[in-house]
Amino acid sequence: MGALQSLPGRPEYSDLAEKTGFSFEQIGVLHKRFKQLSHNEETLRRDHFNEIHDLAFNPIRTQIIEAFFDRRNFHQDGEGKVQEIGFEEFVVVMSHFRPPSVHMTEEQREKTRREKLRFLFNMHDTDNDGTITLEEYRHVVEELLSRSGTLEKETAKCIADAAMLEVASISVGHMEPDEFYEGITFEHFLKLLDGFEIESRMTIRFLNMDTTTLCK
Amino acid sequence: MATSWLFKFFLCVFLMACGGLSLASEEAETQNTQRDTGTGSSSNATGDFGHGARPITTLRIVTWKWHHITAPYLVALWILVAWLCKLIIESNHHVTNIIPESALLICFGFMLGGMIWGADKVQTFMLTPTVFFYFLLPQVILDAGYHMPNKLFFTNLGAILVYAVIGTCWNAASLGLSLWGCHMGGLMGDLDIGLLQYLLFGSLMAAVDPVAVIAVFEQVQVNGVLFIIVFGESLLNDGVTVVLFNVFDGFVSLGGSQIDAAQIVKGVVSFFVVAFGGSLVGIAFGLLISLLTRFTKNIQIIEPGFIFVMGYLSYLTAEMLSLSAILSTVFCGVLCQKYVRANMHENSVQTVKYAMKVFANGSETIIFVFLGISAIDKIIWVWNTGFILLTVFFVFVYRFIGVFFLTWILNRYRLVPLEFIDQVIMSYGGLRGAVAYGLAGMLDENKIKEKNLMVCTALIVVYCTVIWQGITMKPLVTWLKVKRAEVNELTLLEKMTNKMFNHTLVAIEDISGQIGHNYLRSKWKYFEEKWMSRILMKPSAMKKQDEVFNVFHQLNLKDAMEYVAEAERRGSLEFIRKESVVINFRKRFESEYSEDMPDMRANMSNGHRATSTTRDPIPSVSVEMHKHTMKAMTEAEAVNAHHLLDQHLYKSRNQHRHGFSRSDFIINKDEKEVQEIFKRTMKNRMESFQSAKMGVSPKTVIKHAKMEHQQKMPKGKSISQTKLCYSCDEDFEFSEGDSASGYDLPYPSFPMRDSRPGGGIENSAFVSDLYPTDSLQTPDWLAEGELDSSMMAPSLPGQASPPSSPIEMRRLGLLRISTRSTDTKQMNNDQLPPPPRPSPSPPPSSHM
Repeated sequence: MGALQSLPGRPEYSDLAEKTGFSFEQIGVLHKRFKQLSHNEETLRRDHFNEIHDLAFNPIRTQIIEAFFDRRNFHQDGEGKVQEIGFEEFVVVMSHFRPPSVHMTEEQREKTRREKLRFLFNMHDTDNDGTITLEEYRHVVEELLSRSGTLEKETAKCIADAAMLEVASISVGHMEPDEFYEGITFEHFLKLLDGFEIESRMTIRFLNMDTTTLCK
Repeated sequence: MATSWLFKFFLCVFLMACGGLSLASEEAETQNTQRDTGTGSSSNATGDFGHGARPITTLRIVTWKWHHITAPYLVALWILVAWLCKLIIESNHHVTNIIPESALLICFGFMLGGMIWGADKVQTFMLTPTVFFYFLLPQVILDAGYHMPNKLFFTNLGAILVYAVIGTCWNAASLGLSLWGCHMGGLMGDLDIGLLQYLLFGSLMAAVDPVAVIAVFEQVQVNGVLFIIVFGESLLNDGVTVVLFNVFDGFVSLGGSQIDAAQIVKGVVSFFVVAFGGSLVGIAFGLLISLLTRFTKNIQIIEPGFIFVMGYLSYLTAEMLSLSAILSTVFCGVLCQKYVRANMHENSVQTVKYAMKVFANGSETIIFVFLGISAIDKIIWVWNTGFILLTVFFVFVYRFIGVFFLTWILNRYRLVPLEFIDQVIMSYGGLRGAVAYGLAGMLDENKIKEKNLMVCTALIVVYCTVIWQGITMKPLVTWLKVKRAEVNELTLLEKMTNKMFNHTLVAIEDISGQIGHNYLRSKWKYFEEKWMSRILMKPSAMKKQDEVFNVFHQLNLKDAMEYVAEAERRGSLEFIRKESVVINFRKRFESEYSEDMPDMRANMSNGHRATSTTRDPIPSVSVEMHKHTMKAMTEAEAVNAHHLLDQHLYKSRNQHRHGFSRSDFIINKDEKEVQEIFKRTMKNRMESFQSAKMGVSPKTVIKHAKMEHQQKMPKGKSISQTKLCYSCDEDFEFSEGDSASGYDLPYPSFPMRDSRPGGGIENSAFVSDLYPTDSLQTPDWLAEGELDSSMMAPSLPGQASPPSSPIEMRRLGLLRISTRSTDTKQMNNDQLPPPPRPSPSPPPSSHM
């Protein structure tokens, strides 16, 4: 607690810290990074993200960058895209990757899990209609496999199809012929990834130390 | 009842075997007094005793040459006996559910040892360090390394190293010092053991044993992280143990007065040399194996052997250089697994996998049995209550203290802290095993007077941990509700999400400017893909590296296997026509399109999206077939079927030309073919998926168990309009095929196509003739038609019933053509062959 008071002149951080659960030091580091990325501007645009050197190798770069500009990831019931984000949004998106605290009730764990999965789900569901359709899924899979270079596009499509088919068989089971599989809804998504340990894995170590200088 | 009989029977077998053995060993024993050469008492006089010894008076037809083969015979017999023990144990599941197999094997060892003791009055067989370290341990370790879950291992490497290095040192030091303290305090009576010797004893007792840990944890099935920490620790602490053991052994030889700071520094240095040197040797051998398997294409038969030989060589090389042999083998396995799997032929990979398991499991069994047998020996039983009980107590307590303390430190840095329950299990999983016993056996009796006491204590600690902790582990795990291992069948979606998710993590680290695990991993991966794979991996194998592709591959294989199993269940190809087939086509269309089918087709292909969810089922086509009983034609048909299969399946499948050849083992594995099968299967899956979703699928109700199974295939949402109509006319195609085959019942490949509409599980390798590829697209169906008709010839009597609605058929045919013209999907080209024309009146000619 002493550490908190020892950071005077950062009253805006305390709100943010409360909202996102980051410590002041972490917010400080992230702020530095934010400034570095935005070239000391107040907002970040997509171009700024595209400049990040290491990110260039990432096959799903677009999805990730879009996730930063997706309103759904800032607010509970936001919608649509924005063109630029401020520091607050930046930190809020980052906070999806905060490690869970050690002592959590089952309820909190479930909540964290939902939030994290929601983030992933939103990355798939580009048109924001609450379902991942086959087309959306194919797109993601194609992107995902595009960098591996060895898999052909056709194969990527086949894989997406197979995955979708599998999803349908798991989540719905038997269907009448006149029934309709719309795509993966969030509830299905939750159910499908039931055995998928996410609350502890979808985490990043946010250091209190400043390592930004090491990154290009 | 049956099991107990079986049990008695095997006991009898044992008694006989052991009787034979003990007789044999009595003979052998007259010649040998030392017992350090083999599993069995080896006779060193085997050579002298043949027929050279006595003058031959007459030509003997049969001679008794026991002494020629004593040693290998005994080894083989012991292996057999040990494995039979396992067989008996594993046939009693209600016992193994309570008592772990390793504990039972030790108990069997007691029994066997007792029998030998009873017969010989001296223990002639025991586990010697040489046999254990050079012949039994390497394969267990190699297996552990080769099947190591790499990602899990390296993610937790930090924690594992902390436990393995600091934990082991702590165990050794605390145990040695405490025992020494108790000795000074007079709790043990009169023992000739100095401080250094206590520390030496502590160091050999310190190491958690990989063999015991695998044996117990495999049955408990705790979650991955917990398992890898205990297991990884047990593997990596070998480096520490070897160093500690050697250092203290050296100190004991030097004597207390000679030890100064320089010696201690040397000891510390030797730790790094031994540990890193061993790892480096392993890595070198791992690279060598990987490189070697790149070029073994032409000697596929012995390809798997390289892994074993090189793995063993890595062990021996490290041992030769007095480095950590276990570390060497582990890293060799860890490094080469990826490249070996990619480079070698699939069969070889399977062979390696199974052979590895056979060796590892087999030698593990032998180790435990011999641990039991070794106990029944009067010489080593030197009882000292204080020493033994205190050792057991300290081993247990210090393990707990060490684990809890180290975890407390680690948890401050771990992203996902280890919970209290995990720590309990980790402490409890600190099993000591054959390594401790083997090391104790290596002690020099001249330097350490109480060697036998130490061996005896080591054995007791092993029994306590393996038997007692082994038995209580499972209830404890259940009671504490430890997270169990997840059912490890990842779905494709999960794999994809996983991949996506890893990329996301890397990206977020990049964006946030943090250097974390993910950052490092992605950098390593980049390096690995760019350099190592290029050097160590066949270019053709690189593609298969993708894990997603692997799952995809697995799915396809599963499909194929299910299909074959299903077919076999119904009795090979015969099931085709034994079923009474009732086909019932019902098309469900949107009501507005229902008046005229052809029109509708056309409309749809012109781009009317059929999204309306209100669908009236309109049975437009209803073909009902009735039972054809065709008993007379089975024989001729079998021939036909084979002929047809020969013609239409891939030619080179399973053509083993010489069954006796040792090197000819070629099964066609053409890259293209595999690829093609994949694509086709996927298409089939998609078709059923989409058509089902459309609800226009001709709902084929065929009384096949298989069909019912397939009908469960879910229906999904289709993608685009083109796709949509495309799928529609796909269905028509099916229906046509179905109806055609419906009345051409004897048509041998019928079941393949008849199961198409539901076709979720279908391997197109088996229906290759249905979907000719581009190259085959020449009037293949025509040829097929000819063939078909020729097939039908012998079964003409069965043709009594003509197609019930030929008009329907024709209409469908028309339909197909009309839709086809508008269809723009390029896929269709290779996908939709011209329809196999229904041939209601087969030509009478038969060119059989």
